[in-house]
Amino acid sequence: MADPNVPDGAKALDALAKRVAILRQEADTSGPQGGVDRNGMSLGLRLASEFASAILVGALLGYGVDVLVTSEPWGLLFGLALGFVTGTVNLIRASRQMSAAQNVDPRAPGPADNPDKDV
Amino acid sequence: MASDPMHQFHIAPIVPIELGGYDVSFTNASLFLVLGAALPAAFMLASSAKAALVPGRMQTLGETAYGFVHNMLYSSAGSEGVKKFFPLVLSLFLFIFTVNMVGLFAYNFTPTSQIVVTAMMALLVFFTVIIVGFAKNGLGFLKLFAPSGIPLPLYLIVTPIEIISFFSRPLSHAVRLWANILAGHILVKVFAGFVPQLVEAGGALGAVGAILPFAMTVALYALETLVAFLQAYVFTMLTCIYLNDALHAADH
Repeated sequence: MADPNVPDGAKALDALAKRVAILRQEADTSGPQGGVDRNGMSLGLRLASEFASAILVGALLGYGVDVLVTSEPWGLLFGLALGFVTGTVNLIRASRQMSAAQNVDPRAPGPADNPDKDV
Repeated sequence: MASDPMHQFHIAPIVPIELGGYDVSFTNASLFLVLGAALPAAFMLASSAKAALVPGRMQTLGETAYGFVHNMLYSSAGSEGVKKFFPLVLSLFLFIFTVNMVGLFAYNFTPTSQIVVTAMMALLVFFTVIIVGFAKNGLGFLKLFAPSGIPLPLYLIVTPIEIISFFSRPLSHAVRLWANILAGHILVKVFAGFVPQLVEAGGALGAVGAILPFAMTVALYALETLVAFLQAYVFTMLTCIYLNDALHAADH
């Protein structure tokens, strides 16, 4: 047991804890968070669906108001216009989300170890 | 037609059943939907059968899947979200992931390429958000449509925008998964279809030229494998974000 390459218990435990911490951090930063929406098609489809669905729903809601209060073209027109606005808002939100997800600070503190502590 | 890129989406009955005038046949779509439910269940049962302190291979896989979804839900909806919605979110993720992956194999059907399937899942999340939101926050849930801290006249514009944005969620939620899977599968089939067509049309020269679309097919397959996972992840991620709104609508 006089081998100098084998450290004593406390030191070995410390070294192991350090290595685990480093590996944990690497695993955190290289997780799926960084890989999301990297490929062009899924990015395009995401933005397209955000934009198009808002216009469609806006027009539908406007038309629904039309049917309810018989104000024929006006609800549809306003709904369509509001849908465009909403689509743009959705686009901005989605792209903001994406850029937030991609620029992860590698030195940012990770989530707490025990998720149930703050119950 | 073997080279028809739309052929893979045809629904054919396996066991024809008719109930009260409705066609409720067990089709190839039903088969793969059942597989999508059965495989994750079998996987989870197998991985938790031993429940050893030092996990074996199967248990490690199961714990990784569990931990992955747990982290996703915890980071966006907190411990309250985990408590309330974890079973729903884990089932959704495992179901979509399995169905996408199984659908990648040749001759298999992909239920997520049908908008009915994705729309039902998106609506399930949508109504869960509405019901839980009202049950938990009461009328405070409506604060979702009126964010605090803006001048009073702006509410005239912001509230309708927020309402439309809220109702457009299930649509974009469903369309995103469906369009990704549908487009990807068509693309792979189109490029794969070029190979026999080139050989048929050009003989030996065509066979040499067919190497190009064949390489493209292989590359697209790799991409589709990524998309199969990524879309399951994105769908689940958005589900977590929406569920968080249901819990914390009143603090907006």
